[in-house]
Amino acid sequence: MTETERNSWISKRPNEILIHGPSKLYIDKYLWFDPTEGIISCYTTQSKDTADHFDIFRGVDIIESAGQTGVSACAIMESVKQDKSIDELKKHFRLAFVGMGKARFHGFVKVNETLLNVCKIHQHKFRQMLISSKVYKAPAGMDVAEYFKELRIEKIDQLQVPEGFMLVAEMEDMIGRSVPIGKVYPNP
Amino acid sequence: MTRQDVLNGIVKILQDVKTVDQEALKKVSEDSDFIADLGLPSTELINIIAKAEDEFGLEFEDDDVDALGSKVADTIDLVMRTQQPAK
Repeated sequence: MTETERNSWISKRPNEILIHGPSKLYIDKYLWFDPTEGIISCYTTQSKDTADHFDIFRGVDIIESAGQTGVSACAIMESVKQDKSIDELKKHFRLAFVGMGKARFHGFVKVNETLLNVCKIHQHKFRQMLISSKVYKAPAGMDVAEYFKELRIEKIDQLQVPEGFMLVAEMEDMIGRSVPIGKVYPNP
Repeated sequence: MTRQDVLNGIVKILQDVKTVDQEALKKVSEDSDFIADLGLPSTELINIIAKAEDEFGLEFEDDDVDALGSKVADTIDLVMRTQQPAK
């Protein structure tokens, strides 16, 4: 995939790639993507996200934000592999975050704070993608999308998170899958 | 390669999978269900199929894996079908 193609993908709005409605979509913008390496996104929490939860973004929603980021990479790769547009893909597949191994939380996120989701791709096979993720909280007032606008790295492990970012959570064995519509998987 | 060879290969793969019930694996047959009988998470099934590609030196199609059931016999069928493509 060329740099132009990668940039074309990350310039898409998350709701162009994912099927989540506005109240459950936890990505504002994609910041970086490489088909074999990973994907990075950001999200600033809103009052609707922390309502009835003492202005704290729920841990499960931090996981969801990272999961949606990983599923986005899975959707992009499936679109490329099948040579179909994302809209065409959505007619045949449900792009879903279907599983996760371990999660470790190191901090919490309040309303109006910004998350940086750094997802590393470990495997993409049979329409299923295995990723791990680190989630950081950005310093107050920082425009994360602007800061990472010119991010130029080749490997996701080369990402140097600037001073002031705080590691909030780490997740392993996250699984995104393009599930054929109509296929019902048994419960684990 | 016979169906028994494939079953033996699958057992070999499953012996290294932590989530598999190793006691149940001793009694595995073609009728066994990876998920219901062996305790394999459904998301792990894809990894088993990927390992089966390596074990048997084959390459499966995404569509075939989409259509795969969770019985051991379904995976054996897939291996047998893939090693002898329809003419």
